[in-house]
Amino acid sequence: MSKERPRLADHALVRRHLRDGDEIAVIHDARTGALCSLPPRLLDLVLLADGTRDLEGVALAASRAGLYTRLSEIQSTLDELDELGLMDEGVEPGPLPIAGAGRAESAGVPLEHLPGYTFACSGRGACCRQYASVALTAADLVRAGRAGLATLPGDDDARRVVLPLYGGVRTERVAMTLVDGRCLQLTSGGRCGLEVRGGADAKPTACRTYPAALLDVGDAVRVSVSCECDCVFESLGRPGAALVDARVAADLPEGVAIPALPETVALSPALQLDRVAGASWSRAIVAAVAPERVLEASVRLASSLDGGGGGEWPEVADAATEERDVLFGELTKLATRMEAAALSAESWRGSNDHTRIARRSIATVAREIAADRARFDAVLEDELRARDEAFTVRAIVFGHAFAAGEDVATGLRTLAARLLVARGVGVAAPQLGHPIAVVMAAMRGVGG
Amino acid sequence: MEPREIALSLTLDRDGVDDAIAAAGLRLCGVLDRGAQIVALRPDRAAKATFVAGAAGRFERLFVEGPDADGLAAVLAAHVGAGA
Repeated sequence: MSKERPRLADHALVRRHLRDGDEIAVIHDARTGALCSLPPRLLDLVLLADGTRDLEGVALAASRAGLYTRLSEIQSTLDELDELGLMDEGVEPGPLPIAGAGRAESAGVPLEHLPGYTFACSGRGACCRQYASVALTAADLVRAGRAGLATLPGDDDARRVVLPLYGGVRTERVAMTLVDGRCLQLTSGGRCGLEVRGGADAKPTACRTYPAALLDVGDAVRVSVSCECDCVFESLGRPGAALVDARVAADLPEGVAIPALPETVALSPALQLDRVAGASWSRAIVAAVAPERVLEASVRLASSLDGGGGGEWPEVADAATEERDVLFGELTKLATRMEAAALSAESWRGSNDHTRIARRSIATVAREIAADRARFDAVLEDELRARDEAFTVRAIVFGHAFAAGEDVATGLRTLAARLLVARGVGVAAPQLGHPIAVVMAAMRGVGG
Repeated sequence: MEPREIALSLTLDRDGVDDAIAAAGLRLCGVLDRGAQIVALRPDRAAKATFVAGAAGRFERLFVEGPDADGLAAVLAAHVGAGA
């Protein structure tokens, strides 16, 4: 090990899982998506390497904790993690800045809600079992502790409930232990155990504001929605409430991340707008999206953006060949990425883990559609969920919720492919839930 | 009480020291002189062992001390094949 006083790097995201009854720790490399796993005892050793201790110091700390056997065990474990690029040296300079997050520049900035949308949570806990991280702030953890934390079997001191959200040291933000992919605090009835025991205030901030997706566009904080939960779609056309109970940015709960729209908005490599024009563009598109041929229209709009045009949502009377071909190409890429994601999930997630099940279903459907052009054409004609698809496009565009570094045109093509696969998932695996929600959630972080 | 040296029939590498510590029910408590001295104590503090490395980096000398040094010496002698 080349590092004299090692610690887990900021891009090493450690998560504790109970998987089919066995406890493991999984370390995700946030830079590459690669992951490795450790038994709990070795994780405990690794966490003692906090950047202040040399190897012998880690050994002494392990001895104090009753974990020590051999120096060589510590060395080989740290060496392996170092070879994977997961270790850093010395003490971190402070809390990791959250990229793009922060309070709106002016506390009085008004909220701009996704037009025409109100939300009602179904309370079935679908969102509590599909994310790789359930994040809590330090204040969230204090409130949760007062309400009473569910713990793993044998964890009487509640030492295995959370881990640092990133790296191995800082605890301003922590990640909840997951049980077969579900938040440890989720009850068997699908309710948040913290809310059951301690009321709404006991829920972590991010959970309370979910599925709201906030974006500071300068003159407003937009409130869009993450289309990753069944109840987001079940709320369409039904009475509900505003996603967040706030009029201006200052009213938003403390600790809520509010990313900012970049000063330059890349609609395509050929078309960049400043923030004001970019926000105006998305506002106009959201108002114009129609629930017909949504997939083809998204692809056509993307092509127009690539050519430097694209001020308007296009009307598509029928499935033009060019859009079909582009969509087929995107589907093929998606199928490849999803197969890799499914294999990755199967390498460590439990058999009952919803993410594992969903990713395999999606990968299978994507592969089958991509292998059969006639089936692809048939799926493209299936407009059963056109309303939901149009809503998804509106929500994504309104919140500029494309992948980091991805221009809008690329994002629209990617989204169209996902919506296409969702049509297939809706037929092949309806038991997973609303197919668009299933696909969008399962593909978070996958790309494509 | 002065530490008492236990003669080792073989030199030990670090793994050997760690294994001896575990076998004797000791806790690693100190690493001195850039790792050339390893200090381990019984949890009840009644005995202490100090392993000392030679120039070649292998641990050649073992000292025991404390109220129950005799007991510790016997256990260590049995594990490392030493003459107490």
